[in-house]
Amino acid sequence: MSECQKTQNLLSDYRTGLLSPKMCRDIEAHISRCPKCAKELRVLDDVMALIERNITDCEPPVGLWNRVYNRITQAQHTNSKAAIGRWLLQPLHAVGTVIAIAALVAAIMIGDIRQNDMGYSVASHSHAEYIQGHVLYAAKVPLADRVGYLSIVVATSSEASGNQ
Amino acid sequence: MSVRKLIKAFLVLGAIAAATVVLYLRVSSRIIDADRIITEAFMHNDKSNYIALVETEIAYMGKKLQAKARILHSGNNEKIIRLGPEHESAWSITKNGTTYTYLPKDKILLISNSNHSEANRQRIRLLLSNYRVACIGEESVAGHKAYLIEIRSRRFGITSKKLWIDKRHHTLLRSVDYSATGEKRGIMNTIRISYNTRIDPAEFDISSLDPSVRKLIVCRPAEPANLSRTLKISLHPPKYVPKGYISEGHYLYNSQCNCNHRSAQLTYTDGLNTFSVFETPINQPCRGTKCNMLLEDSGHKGCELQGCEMARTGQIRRGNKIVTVVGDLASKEIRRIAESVQ
Repeated sequence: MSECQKTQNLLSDYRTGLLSPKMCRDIEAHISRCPKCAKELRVLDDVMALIERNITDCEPPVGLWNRVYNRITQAQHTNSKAAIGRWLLQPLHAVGTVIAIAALVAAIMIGDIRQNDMGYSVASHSHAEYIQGHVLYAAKVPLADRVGYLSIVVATSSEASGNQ
Repeated sequence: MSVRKLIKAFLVLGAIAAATVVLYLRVSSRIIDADRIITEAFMHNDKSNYIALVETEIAYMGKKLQAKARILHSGNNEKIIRLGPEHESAWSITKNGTTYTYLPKDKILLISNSNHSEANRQRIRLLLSNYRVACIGEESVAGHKAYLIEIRSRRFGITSKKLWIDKRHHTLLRSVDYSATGEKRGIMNTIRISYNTRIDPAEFDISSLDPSVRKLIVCRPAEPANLSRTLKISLHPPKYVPKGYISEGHYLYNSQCNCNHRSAQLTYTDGLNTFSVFETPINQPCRGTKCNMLLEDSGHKGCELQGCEMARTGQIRRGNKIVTVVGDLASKEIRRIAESVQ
């Protein structure tokens, strides 16, 4: 394969940034001294520009909504910080806040807030049943700790069946 | 240079070359041995016959679930009886690809079917391509000599599992499991094991179970088109699956909740670890009960993640269905899989 053929095969990867820096330098060196390959690159650029101009339907990338949502809520959170500070400076509000925090702490200590000794929250009902479904499948893989998985099925069973 | 010096140099070079060859042969034979040992342990599971007493400790939701169990293993059949202070023990029986799990507290028998008769060959190939397997020593477990095998992820370079495999019978005597982030998440240890002991076939019979026990087929293989029709949702596999994982099956999953809501379960494996994607229609017959309330009211503007050592979960709403991903993967991977389902 000639050097021109090799270069032309790599042009689209070069333009989309998929090549290593060394390969990019090799291609650039070749293009600087080869008018035929330089022309090929210009044609490729024209075609790509044409495609970009005519794309109308484009699927949003995975996770776009969550990124936008997180940034909106983060901005709201930052703006509300100053307002909360001003609100707390008023004596009546400060006393009320302290009482509310004390009541919440008492509820955590006395009430049925389901938090275990390691600080993990217990899976909600809907997640427990899916964990159980997954464990029943995972236990079938050879060399799996089937006794350990049976312990998890027993542990998730009451949550999944709603007998809490 | 004198002839004497030349001979000396020749001898030194020869010794170095010989040492290199010996070292290479030792290392390569060790790798080959480990591959063979793990393959035999995978494939031998259906041929062995033993009764064992084992103890396990597995991390789940910040707790350490400890249990002792008696295992009766005879070819394709296996019974695990969980030994505990309870009046009646939980047990599971696996025969011909179907697992029956009896939970005395809930008076329920969970039946889980699979179609994996040929899956073990594929799993071992996957395991060896995704993980580096090495024999790192020999130890005695429950009076039996065992190879100590270490399985390390090729992708992340961390230890995923350690196995102690009986040198003679190829059975798993001890194992230590590590989570996707490298923490120890479970230990299984054999206390006693006796091979080639006759096991009464009645041990694997479930017909003698109290007729009042509720029987629930939790999981059965199904074609994707049938799942879409049955659940009235458009079933889409995730567009993103972590490197090394392949799709292993599609199942209709019946929840154990009393309102019997159902999901499509899509399972994936990399030969050692697994994850499941559940697609659950929102409009279920259990409307108004607790589980449906959670499905509808939890917001799901983004992916809701929960973490535990055994499996992380991620849940997200997609149109008329809830997508739940469960598996021992990093949180960002769980989120990415869940978000890639259309």
